[in-house]
Amino acid sequence: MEFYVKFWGTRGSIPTPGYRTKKFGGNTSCVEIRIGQELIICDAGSGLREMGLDLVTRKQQPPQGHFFFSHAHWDHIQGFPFFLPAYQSSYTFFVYGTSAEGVRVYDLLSGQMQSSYHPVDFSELSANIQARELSEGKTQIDGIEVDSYAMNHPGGATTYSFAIDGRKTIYASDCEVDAVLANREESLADPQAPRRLPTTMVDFFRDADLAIIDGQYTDQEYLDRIGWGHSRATTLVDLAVAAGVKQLAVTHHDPMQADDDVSRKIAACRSRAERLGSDLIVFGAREGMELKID
Amino acid sequence: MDSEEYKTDTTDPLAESIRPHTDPDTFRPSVLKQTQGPGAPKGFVLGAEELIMGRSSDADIRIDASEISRKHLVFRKIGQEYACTDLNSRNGVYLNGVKIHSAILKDGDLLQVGGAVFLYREGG
Repeated sequence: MEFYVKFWGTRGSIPTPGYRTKKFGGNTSCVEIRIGQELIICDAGSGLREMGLDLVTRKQQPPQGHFFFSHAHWDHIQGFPFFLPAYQSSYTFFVYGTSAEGVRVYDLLSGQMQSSYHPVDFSELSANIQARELSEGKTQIDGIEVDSYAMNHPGGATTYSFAIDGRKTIYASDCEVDAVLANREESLADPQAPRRLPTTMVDFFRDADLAIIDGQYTDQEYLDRIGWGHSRATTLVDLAVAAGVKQLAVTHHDPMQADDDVSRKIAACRSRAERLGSDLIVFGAREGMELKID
Repeated sequence: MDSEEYKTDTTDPLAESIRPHTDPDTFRPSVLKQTQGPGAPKGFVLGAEELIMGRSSDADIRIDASEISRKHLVFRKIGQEYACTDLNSRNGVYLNGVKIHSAILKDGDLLQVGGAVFLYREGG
């Protein structure tokens, strides 16, 4: 069964179009995962608009789509009112959430389409859009095992794993991994120090072929943004190495980071992986890039 | 601001960087500069809507090396940009060291196909 991952939005916080962000892109979070016939969409940031335009032109249409939201902050839902397939009756979408939060995400998604915010009401959408709840944080979609893990972010955020036939991809947006380090103070005082991660988190990421993780900040930037809910990109290297991840895609780039800044952030991650003696592949997630998970 | 105003200010780097490059006298096509592998150094101008790179004699960009598939990847023009897509090649396509299925190329990207390495220079 073929397994593809495509980045449609990799920017954090707010769309940042322009010449400074041309390479990595300015659209906010949206990742498409295609496994066999199934379409999974992680977050509905402004990148979702482009994805929707592309989706309606495809020869092979998915039977339905499955939305998974890290959380409902604006940069993760703002693309939905501009998602063209939502206006077409031939599409069915399921919006997943964890327990009571499942309803909450759905409500917030529809709430942003009230007349005070958007000219078209959610009830006017032609697609069949249904809320679904994860059972104890898990579900299965046509053989795809979906699991979730609660992350540290103001208001909370959820990380998801999608696994089939021994292949696994993880989507972890909006998480402050640094906040849960066992040696947090030491790692802030000495960025070179190894970062001690919670065992449960490492186990969740274990042996992923691809981990897409929020690494918004450089080590220096993070010092002024502690508690804002985003990680140092370099901390993700320690997580990925500890968990035996094959490829790490650093995403949710800070809106203040130009392309060269993101490239430097990734270079620092690669240096750290090398220093840890790991052959981990690290790259900056960028719009339009698609990977095949073999 | 119209194009005439852009033309009058050539000292502002921002204005220069976003100046529309529609003037045929200044337009530069996108190019792939082969820096390593069979036949390097060599340049390929990307002008067509679609171009196939591979080992096949009828490939638009032919690289004669055994590790390159007959039809290895395709370049498709999207607006002023080029997207490249792996055509299920045996040895894959690497963009800046990462194995990809497809990507929209950006200025300065390094594309590796077998032992051949290309530097992408965006036109405009």
